Amino acid sequence: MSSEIHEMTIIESDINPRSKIFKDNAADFEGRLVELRERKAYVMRGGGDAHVARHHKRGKLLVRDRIDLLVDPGTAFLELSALAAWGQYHNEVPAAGIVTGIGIIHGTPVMVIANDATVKGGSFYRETVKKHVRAQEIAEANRLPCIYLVDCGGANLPQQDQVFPDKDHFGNTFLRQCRMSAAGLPQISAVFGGCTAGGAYIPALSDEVVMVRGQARIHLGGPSIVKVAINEEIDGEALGGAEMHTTVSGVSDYLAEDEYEAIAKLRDVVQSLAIERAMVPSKSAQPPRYPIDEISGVVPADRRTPYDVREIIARMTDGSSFIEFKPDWGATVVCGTAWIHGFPVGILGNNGPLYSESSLKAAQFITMCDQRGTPLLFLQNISGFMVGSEAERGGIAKDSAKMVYAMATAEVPRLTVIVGGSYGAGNYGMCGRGFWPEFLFAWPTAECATMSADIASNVMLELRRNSVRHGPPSAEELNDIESRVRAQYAEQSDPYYATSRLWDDGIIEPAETRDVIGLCLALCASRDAIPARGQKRVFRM
Amino acid sequence: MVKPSQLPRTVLIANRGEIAIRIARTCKSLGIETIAVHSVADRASLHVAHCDRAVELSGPSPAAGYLDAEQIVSVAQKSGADAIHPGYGFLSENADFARACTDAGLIFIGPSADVIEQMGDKIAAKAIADRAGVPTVPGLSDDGDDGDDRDARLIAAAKDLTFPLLIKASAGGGGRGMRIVESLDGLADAITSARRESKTAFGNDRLLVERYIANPRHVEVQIFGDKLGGAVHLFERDCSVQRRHQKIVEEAPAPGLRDDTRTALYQAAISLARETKYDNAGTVEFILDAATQEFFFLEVNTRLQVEHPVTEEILGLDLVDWQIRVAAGQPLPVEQVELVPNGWAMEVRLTAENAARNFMPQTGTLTRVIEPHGTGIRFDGGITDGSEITPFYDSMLAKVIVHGKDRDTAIRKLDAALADTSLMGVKTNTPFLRSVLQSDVFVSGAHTTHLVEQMKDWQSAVHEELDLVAAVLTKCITEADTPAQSPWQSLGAWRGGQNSAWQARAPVVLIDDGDNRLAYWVSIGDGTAILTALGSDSTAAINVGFSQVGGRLNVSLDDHEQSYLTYIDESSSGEQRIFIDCGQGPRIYRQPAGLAGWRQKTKRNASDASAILAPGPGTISSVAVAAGDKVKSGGIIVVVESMKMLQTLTAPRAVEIDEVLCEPGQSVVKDDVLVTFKTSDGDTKS
Repeated sequence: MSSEIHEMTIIESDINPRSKIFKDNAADFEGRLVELRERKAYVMRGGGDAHVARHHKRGKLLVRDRIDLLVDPGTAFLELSALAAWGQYHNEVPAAGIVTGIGIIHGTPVMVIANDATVKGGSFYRETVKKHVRAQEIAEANRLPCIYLVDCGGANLPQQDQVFPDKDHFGNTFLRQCRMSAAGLPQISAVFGGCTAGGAYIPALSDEVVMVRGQARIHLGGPSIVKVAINEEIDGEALGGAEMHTTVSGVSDYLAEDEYEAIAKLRDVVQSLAIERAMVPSKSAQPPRYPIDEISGVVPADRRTPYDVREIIARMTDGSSFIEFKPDWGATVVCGTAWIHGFPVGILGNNGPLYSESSLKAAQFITMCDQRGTPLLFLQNISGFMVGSEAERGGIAKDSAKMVYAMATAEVPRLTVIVGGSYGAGNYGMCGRGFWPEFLFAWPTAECATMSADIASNVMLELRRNSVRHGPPSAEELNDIESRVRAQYAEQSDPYYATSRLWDDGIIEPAETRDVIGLCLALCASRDAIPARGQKRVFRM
Repeated sequence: MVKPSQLPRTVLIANRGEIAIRIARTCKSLGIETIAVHSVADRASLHVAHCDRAVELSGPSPAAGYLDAEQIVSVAQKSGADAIHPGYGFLSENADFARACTDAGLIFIGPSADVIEQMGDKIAAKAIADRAGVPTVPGLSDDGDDGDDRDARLIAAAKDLTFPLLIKASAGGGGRGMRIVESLDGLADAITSARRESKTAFGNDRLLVERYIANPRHVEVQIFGDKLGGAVHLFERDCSVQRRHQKIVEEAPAPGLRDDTRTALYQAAISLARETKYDNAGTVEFILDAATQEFFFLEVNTRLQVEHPVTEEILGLDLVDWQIRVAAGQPLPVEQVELVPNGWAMEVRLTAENAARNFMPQTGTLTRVIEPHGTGIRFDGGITDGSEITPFYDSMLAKVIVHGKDRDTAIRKLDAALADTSLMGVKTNTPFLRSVLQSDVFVSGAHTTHLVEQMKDWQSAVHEELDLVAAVLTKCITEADTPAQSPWQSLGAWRGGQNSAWQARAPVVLIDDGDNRLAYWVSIGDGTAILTALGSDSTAAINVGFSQVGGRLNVSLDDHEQSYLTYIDESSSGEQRIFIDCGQGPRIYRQPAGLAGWRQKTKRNASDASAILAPGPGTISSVAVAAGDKVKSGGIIVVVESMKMLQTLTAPRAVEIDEVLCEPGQSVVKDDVLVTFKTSDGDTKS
């Protein structure tokens, strides 16, 4: 194992941490971090003190406590989209009532999908379904077994049109569950609470099921429905309790006396999968030479002030090393190879709008990484591709398309972090959400929109002025349009608006980005160790 | 035949454990080859590894081989040994064995068979003591009196003695057959029962009746003689701390003796040695009245004593070395005048005993042995990591011996050495020994042989919360030490973010020694840790400080601080055991690997069943019970054959059979009632 880093490849930083500008930037960023931490702390409380207390009183463990017990001690858990549904539903559905994330059980990475019964009884809102599906997507792409910690009442009925009928709604979660199972990715459930109707299918469609005595219930119709439908009087425990299902119906495979035992049993089951997936890099990891937390002073408080993305890369890669590709051509995109936590990665970062040259450079770099099997990391801070006659005459449309085409068809894992602006076609070229990167995270400084509020309001004013249907606009009307458009863009390009709607896999701090990327690279780099096994169906008997 | 003055070339050590290793050590230093003998059970014992060669003994029980004189002599001859060291216990005071050795042309490293024989008989020994002018406890025996009215004669004679009186078996030892009689009234009954017990225990019902000393101390003098008529005394030892007449703390010199008492003790011992032409090592034991410092002869132990190291320490010599030289016919290496004691030595015997439960012997595996180190600290043990402690042998595991300039220093050093010692895996008497060393009465030197019973209310200090914290931290810290290459491991319990709410917090779930499940979140900082109970609203956190110094874990909580020796092992099944020891003996916390261990005990009332049901279709193979039978929990009730497999159905608890509803050959289907139980109030099923 070589850990040698050639001095030539170490990025030289021009940042002076004692400068006023650095301190001002850091102070501004600190404000954003405080806000982020407060918001994450809020959602960590689940459904709030009263609901948590009731949950505990029932002898139940909190969802994150279950997860922490489930994963190997002293190993990481990468929680996804913690701020899903943030700012919606009066903030009464923290984390969308579901915790998803990747953890390690007996050395094997698994996707954990866990309902939070303290939040609206764990029922499914629009974002709940979206988060559930997204977690399954990640699991499938990265070949992770899925562990469902089921404690939910199914669809939130007032939300039924948002969660039930469409192709990526509740039904789709079951399609994915079945297909992953058949493709050799085990689907395992532990049931901690009542699962009615749709909820019942999460365990019922799992390969193996654990139920907690006295707590877990599975029935297609609950006692009240049974009473109405067939006039049978029966209590929930007899109808669908853990003991009945484990000893009579066989819906459940294991009866656990309590939650601890259920979790221990899940661990046993994962061990029995006998999956060997080391996730060990070929190089030993090294910290960057520059302090990671200096990033907050590197990023200018004013979005429009340019800065060198290499300063961020220098604070992210092993030994601050970066083997830069075509450093003297296409300067507005920075390309190069580095190692993060020992894993090689091809990094693309923006130093301005994408011109033809920079697009071509990026396209070449992407195809090279694809050829070499090096995963890609896009650090998005992009206003877009260059406009204007010079650019158009230079063929920016076809050159940018080459970059998009190369990126869209690359077979290596692609990771994206939106560190600043993510506008228009720049979002496309730098592997935005629509291009299905394996993971996409955002910094609190992220702004994602078709264009900036300035440009958007100008466009809208121009459209109004040229409107044939309406007469000439009054100044008042134009003012009104401008403020409406600006307000809309301000609201919708806020990173919390984006993360609330699952446009990303979570907002992360600059200082933890290296670790998050390292965890993702470790997963992606080892996914081919788990071969697709064709059709291997498992039926519940 | 070896020439008398030459040292033996090869010594067979007819013993095991600590003393076998002790003897082997000296043999090695003298360039003498050693042969170990061992039982099948002792194949992997440490003493085998310490000898140059080893021979396995056969025998019907694990101890039998070590007591089989004939076999051992034969092994010695066949293996070319020219001497046998018997150690202590086993055959060490067996005159026939000593004789068999010399008859076989082997040097017996110990006193002559005649001396062993004489001293083995209490009454004969007392007579010799009388001849040598050594004071004996005023009393009488019924030696040679087999008449029907011997009891009456004994009672008549006893009237002249000062009460209370002690009655004991003439042939016995170890306290069996002993009776204390406060007045003449109880004498007859006591004699009758003592005779009965003596007869059972020793096959001989002759008795001694003597003055009972209310505040006795046990003081003994080490003697040494050679075959040339030389004899010295090696000063005294005090062994008054005894439980069930077995010594557990020994020291030299004896505390608080007047000079004239010491002189008289030495004179008595030497005159006895001369009277018996004593050769090799011996110990003259006395009972000493703490009030008057009068002392009386008890017996002579014709062997090396367990507590010999304290004498070695104050004199700076090696008694095993002396034993071998003297046995080979060499003169004593030094003259009496050259022997000058220096400082104070003290020894404790670490035994596998639960002192809190009347010193009940313990068995198990010593997962980890941590020995104390330091100037003037000596650890004589027969154990190592992985040693099995079986019920077949003595419960003594090791001795810790210290030497200091005075008694206070020795006590402090010994207490500290015990805190630095940990025998992890079985309960030991460490906490009790430390409480003795810390007790005012022992420190003052005013204790008598009644000390242990006076300490009945003794309790080891329990630091429930500190112990828990130590176990939890040990677990967390050990995990952090595991090297890892993948960021999923190297980042530790990473949960993202910098905010305290998101900080790494590891859940630790342990089962304590009372089978309670303890579940905590642990956040570890630099020298501090926060524990919060898992699964509760309680935000009450335990804030602790900790440090790791020289293999120790120091934990502080509020105003309390405790220092622990720690160890973690993992079984092949993946169960981890966390040992922590704050010098009070180790406590063990488990982290089970699989399902079963996570189950809280008595979770399920499976034993409530009122009947035995057929587990599936099959044929009744046999019925082991009839109506009215009482069956113990786990006792066999019915055997069912199914698929060519026999399945035994057992009682879920202690039950009384009400009805048997099946018979051999009968076919059954699942849940057929086979046997019913009576309910506890005698009712049949309701």
